[in-house]
Amino acid sequence: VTKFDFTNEYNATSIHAQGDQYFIDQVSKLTKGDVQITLHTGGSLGFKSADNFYAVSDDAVQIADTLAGSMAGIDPIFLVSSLPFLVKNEKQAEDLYKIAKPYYQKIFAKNGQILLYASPWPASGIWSKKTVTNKQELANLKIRTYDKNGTLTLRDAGADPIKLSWADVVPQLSTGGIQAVLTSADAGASGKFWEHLDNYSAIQYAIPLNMVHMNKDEFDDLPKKDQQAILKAAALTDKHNWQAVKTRVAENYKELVAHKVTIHKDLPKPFIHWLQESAKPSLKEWLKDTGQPGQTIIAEFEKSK
Amino acid sequence: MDIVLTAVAVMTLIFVVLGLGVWVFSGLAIVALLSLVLIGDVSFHRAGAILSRIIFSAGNSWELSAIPLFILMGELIFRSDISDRLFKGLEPWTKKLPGGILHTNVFGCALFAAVSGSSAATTATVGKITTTELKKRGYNRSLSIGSLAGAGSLGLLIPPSLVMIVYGIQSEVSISKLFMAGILPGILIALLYSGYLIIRALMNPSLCPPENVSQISKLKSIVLLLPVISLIVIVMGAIYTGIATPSEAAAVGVFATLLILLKERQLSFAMIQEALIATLLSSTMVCSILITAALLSTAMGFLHLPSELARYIANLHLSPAWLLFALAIFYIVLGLFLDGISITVMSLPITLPIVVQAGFDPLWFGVFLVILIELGQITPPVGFNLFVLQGLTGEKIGQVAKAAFPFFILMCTAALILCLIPNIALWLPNLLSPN
Amino acid sequence: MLIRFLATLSRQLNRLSGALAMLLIVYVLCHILLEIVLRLFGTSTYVLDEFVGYAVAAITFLGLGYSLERNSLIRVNILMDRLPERFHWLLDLLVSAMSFTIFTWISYYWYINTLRSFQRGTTSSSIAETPLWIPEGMVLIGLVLLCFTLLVRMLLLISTRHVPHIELAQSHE
Ligand code: NA
Ligand code: NA
Repeated sequence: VTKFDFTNEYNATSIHAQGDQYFIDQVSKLTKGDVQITLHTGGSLGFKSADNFYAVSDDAVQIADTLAGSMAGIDPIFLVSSLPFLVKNEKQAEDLYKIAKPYYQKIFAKNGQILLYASPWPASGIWSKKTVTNKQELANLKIRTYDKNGTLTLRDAGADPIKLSWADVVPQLSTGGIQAVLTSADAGASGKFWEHLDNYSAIQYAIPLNMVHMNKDEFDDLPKKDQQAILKAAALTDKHNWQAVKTRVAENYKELVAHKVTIHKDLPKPFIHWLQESAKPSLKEWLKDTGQPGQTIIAEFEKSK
Repeated sequence: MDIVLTAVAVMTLIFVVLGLGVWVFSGLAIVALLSLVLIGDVSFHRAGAILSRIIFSAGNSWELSAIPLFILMGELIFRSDISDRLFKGLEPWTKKLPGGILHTNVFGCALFAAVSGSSAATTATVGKITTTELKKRGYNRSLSIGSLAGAGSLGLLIPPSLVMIVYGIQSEVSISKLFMAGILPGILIALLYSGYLIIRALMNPSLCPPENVSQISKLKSIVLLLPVISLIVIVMGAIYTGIATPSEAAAVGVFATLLILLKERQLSFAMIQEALIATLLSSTMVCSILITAALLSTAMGFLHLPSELARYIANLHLSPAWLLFALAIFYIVLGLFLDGISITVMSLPITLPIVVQAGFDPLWFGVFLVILIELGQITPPVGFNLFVLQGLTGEKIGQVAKAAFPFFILMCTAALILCLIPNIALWLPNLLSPN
Repeated sequence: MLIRFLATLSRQLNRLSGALAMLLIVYVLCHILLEIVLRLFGTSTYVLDEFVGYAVAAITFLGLGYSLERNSLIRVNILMDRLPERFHWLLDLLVSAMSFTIFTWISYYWYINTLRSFQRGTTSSSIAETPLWIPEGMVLIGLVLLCFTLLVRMLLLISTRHVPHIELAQSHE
């Protein structure tokens, strides 16, 4: 029996942890219990997302579930899934992932790792106290963002983006230190944002990905049939996760409505256009950073639409 | 290896390594390594990759920044006459109360807990201000250290609280409600402590020296207390108006202290320099232990120890009352050698579902858990409040732990009361936000 | 002679890194205050938690050797108190050697990682794109200096057969 440890940063009921548990169950079934994987949720092993890439590379931990954007400093290609307003829905996000996958795999391979599967986030939107459905309502809105592109885009769009650690978000919401948060309906629901905020604007800012990667030496040490089983389980989980994210969003919306949060789904065209325009510099800079591979990915993605 | 045996082996390692007299911070790192290699069957090479990465990751932490800053605030106050005036100002209020200004420890910590999210920072700051003064005035050493150790851990129960934020994120319980739920149990514990001090002082008056009957009127004492009161008002005000986050409160506190010292013309370059040196020494001591304690937690995670123990309890299928009892023992045992946040994160995925299944309100359980975690802060061999006080007073760890023991019992009593009357925690959040 | 030189060197180096750590405490204070003010005006430095995190790590590790020399890192003296005075140095030597071993070993692995970050130009994923070798290197320096301080302590113990007594630095240097 081979035992592996698997680290992720999210709580046990999160979409990522549930997907990871699904993978573990598949592996256990397909290998008939030969490979046992223990999931450590909530970062309880001590690894944060930013640690995961080299932690797996050095075999400090065998498998990790990592926010792709947190690996941007290793290679900017990892940012493609979190580029603002590039994909409109889960279907496009999946297409983009398939197009970019060979590039991800190459980087993981170069660092002694294999990419098992992706774990998409529900799309991020704007949680806010007052309605945010046009340019004027966005102006000078103190909003917490989670990454570099979000900060730059919302700043260009006229808002006042604020960077805060996740632990400070709820205290700041309760005291009015911030008025809005850029995040998914899902994350807001798990933080019970409806106690402080009444609106959710589904601007479909991005559908970021988490990636689950494994140490290659550990993989190679397994008997052939277990290797096959792991790859099969990974493929199954990939499929499962892209389906799960859609059901999750639907469930989240129901929950939001139940807690009297107004969901703004069909936002005025000029507002969305304004946001997309504000995101252009980020996209341009990313294309410059990544060079040829980035351009190829975007070109292929535009063709697939 | 059997999971109970593993736990015993790790505890033995800790007692042996720390007992040899290794510095606590390096001792914890050594135990982490030995546990991984000897018990977890991890190769030295892998253990090196694990521990070196965690040591950076645990140190590179925004949440830790409150510790040096709150310590700096304590050092500045200690070097000014604010602390002296605090005691003089409190005299007319406490002279009729048996135990006298010993109560400063309890109420100082309870108040300070309202601006600080961690118990190490609370103990260090209040301790810096009170221990020397209480010793000078001839108060019983054991009572003054013990009350400080116990009351310092209120930092976690009275909001803001780091552990509650972690619990809220993990359990999806509203953090705001958790914060409200902690207030009354916090006050309850403070009252228990004060009551205990009164009883001890009545039984044996020699524990507390007779104070020179001060001529200060209550009105005049307010003037003396003004600097401390304004400090608290500024820092709490900054948090509760949303100007600063709880993690930033420490910086506001230092800034406000500097302003007050400047206004009182007590600020000098030499004083700042001295305060900085002392701050570096204390905060290195505290933070280095917190960091290597994270190594130990990681090692325990790789041994699957907390989760397996929790699963063991889950499989016992106990009645609700026995379940709570078993969980209390479980958390107290883990609290002997692990830090609170790690315990919470590692055990909750297993314990929370059982607790909810048994019919307990997760909001209530959050408060119960925080009290159990507070207990771990004052139990040897690894108890952060004990370490902080050892550093502050120069007393032996055994002395400090012994002094803290009655307060450990009192806190257990509080946990019991909370089980019998859950509304102590639930009343306030339900009152302020029904549904 | 050599030992005395090393001891002086260790003292000076620790004084330097201690001073740097104190400057970093002041920096942390200033950055947080700046951020609070900027937020009132609806803007931000966007790097607060990142930079303060690095600084806190650096403060702790740069302060380790400094604190060790000033005996302000706590330990449990159960055994020491029961041992005759003339054996104290031996126990201290054992304990120092254990600490030296573990931190040399951790430093070695952290060195490999820091070197890799440097060679590959790995950065943080934030707006600042901080080259990671800088904060990682600060921690490495602190760790190495700690090892050096422990080594000097061992040499002093062997040569003097006495536990070095440096007063608690309550007063000035
Ligand atoms: Na608190
Ligand atoms: Na303890």
